[in-house]
Amino acid sequence: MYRKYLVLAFSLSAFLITGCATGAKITIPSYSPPREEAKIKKMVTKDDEIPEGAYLAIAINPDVLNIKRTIPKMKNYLIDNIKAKLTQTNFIALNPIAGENDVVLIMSINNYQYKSAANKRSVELEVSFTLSRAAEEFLSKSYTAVKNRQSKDPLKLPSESELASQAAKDVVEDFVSDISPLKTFQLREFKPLPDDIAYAIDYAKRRNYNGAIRAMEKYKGTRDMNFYYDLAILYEAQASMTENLSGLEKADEYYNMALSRGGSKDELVISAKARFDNFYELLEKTKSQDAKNQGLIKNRSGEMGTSTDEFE
Amino acid sequence: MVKLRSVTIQAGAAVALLMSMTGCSTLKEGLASQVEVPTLEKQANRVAVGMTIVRENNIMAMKMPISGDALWPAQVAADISDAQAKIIVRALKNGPYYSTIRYSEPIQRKMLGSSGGMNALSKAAGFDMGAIAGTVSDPISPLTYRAIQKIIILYGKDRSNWPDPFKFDSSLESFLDFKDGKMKMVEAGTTDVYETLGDALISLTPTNYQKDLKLARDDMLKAYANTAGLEGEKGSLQAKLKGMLTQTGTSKKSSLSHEERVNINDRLAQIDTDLSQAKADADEKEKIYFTLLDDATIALKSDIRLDEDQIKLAKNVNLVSKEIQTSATEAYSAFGVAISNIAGQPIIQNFPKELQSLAIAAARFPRYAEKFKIRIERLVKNAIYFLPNIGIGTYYAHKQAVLAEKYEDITSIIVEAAEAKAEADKAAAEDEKKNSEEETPVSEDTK
Repeated sequence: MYRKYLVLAFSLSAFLITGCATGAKITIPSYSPPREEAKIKKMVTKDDEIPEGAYLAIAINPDVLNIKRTIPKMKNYLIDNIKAKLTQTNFIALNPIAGENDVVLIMSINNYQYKSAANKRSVELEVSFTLSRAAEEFLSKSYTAVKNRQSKDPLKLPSESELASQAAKDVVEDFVSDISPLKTFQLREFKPLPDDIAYAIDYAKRRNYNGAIRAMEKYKGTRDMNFYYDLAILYEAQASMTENLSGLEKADEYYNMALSRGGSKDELVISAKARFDNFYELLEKTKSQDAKNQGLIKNRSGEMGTSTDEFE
Repeated sequence: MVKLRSVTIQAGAAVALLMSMTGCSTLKEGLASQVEVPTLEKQANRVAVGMTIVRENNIMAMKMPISGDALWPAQVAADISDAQAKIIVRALKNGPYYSTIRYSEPIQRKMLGSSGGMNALSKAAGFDMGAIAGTVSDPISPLTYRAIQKIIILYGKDRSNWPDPFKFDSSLESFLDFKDGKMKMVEAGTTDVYETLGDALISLTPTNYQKDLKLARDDMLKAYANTAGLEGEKGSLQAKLKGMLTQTGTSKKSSLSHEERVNINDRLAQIDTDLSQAKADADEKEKIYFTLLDDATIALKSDIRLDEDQIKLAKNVNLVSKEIQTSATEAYSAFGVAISNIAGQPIIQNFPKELQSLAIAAARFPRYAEKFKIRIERLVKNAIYFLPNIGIGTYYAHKQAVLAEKYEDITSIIVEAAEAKAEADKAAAEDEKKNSEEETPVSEDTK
């Protein structure tokens, strides 16, 4: 009788100590969807002179309103960050020449406060971003960033311009994530595979997705839910690195095979497939819009020769 | 013989299970209570330590600023170092209780006997093992070490900045706060500092969830505070009604007039009604906040931003969240041991004798008379808050653990993703290096 207690106690102890076993995990690049997509759709511009179709672009007005409320470098911080963020995905192109029909971004500093004490520094920044075409306003929203630092050693504290630069980065990231997809990551967890093919997961953990896929495709053993689910992850990981839509098609096919082999009742498979679907759709949309936007860039680059910005 | 072995094995199994579930300090606390003299003072101190742990949890969750640079999250999660143990002993040894316990303990053991467990062992051994236990056991309990370790970390090594963990707060509105003490400055030179753990956690969620999460969290905290206030008042009134303890050890029941008793009972009835409403309200607010946290968790899984500052902050929030859960279990244990000792042993009945034993000790050791006086005064005061503190402490410890678990879930997503990425980056870099070494042609000079 006491042996039963002992076994039960130690089993439970082992369970509580180790927790539920989890599979190997990898991170894969992904996109976050724009939060104001409905408003952004209205910004699509049709131009008969541009053959690839309707483009989505903004021209940045470099005259930041109320710039005197902050440090002079703030203008550059804001504009540079917007360019860096938008070109991550090119879902929205940067329009070098703003025509009458084009969307313009106007920025205004609503609030800027810098505080400095013996061991503390802080910056509070509020910027409003307005996207409009002539009198039509698509989006007008304010974003706030607060940067608080403190240290016993004041030499470790950042300067005002460092803090202001970080605050600008934060508000721009918030704004751009409202209007454009941004690059992020997702976590994928593998299901266990038979010993003779388990090395494919080790390959994946070293980012050798091609090697892992080749090994899996050649595998002669049983192809069950785990097999197809893991293969789908490998194709997804490979395709998301290169943003290759045909690789995502393969991943979709294998996710569906995993679903039909019991995956539709498996939380891990369902969760991964749902997130994959969102990314697949978003990447397709982004790539398609990027291709259309290229027409505008070619057209405008031709018009202006070597200059890059009408406002400058 | 077989029966004894069976009992021993069962006890061993239970011990293994308990150890795995609650950690070593908690287990040691339970065992320590089995060799001590059963006094109300020990149980009151245990409850004070439990409340200290709950208060420290509250500090970690609600008061202590946190940043990616902050060192305190790793420190509170670490074992007690030898240096910390020395500070703890130095800090406590001159206090009224620890400086006089070796004088009062033999007197109390004679007058009050030993605990049930110790009596059973003495019976089996054929001599008084309690006398030996009294001389070898560390008067500072394992959970006290843990509780004071956190005070060192959160308030610094300078004792003048520490709160007094054995001084109960008489204000029902601020049971979760120490009356005194000055918290240490949190280092945040290269990453942002957040006012609380919750603020830091919310900053790690996808941006469009942050505003709603803040509002829902504030509503929930207000509802928690309302419930805890009522619990505290209820416990206080119950203690008054039961006349649980007085300085002379006599029942106070007789000293309450009929009208006073009626008034207290009426108020208790009203509190019970209010409390069930307050609890329902707190549960509802908690549900809203937790639903939003669950939604944010799902969204975060598709939107993990692995910038260095976020990773550092997520790791720190994750460490603190785990520690709050461990500490909550330690607090339950402190309350549970105190309650079970009181229920299982004639501690309340012996309270007059306990006070008498302290008076005898004070008379026998006049050099420490002042310290005994403080002990007696503190014991009587703490005894009044004994029940309210257990009620409130248990309520909050549970809430803290549940909330911390959610925070751990969210931050684990970022921490796991960062670790997986770092591992893959490292492996890919190694492979690339090997490949480039293999591909580099050997130059003529080196042939």
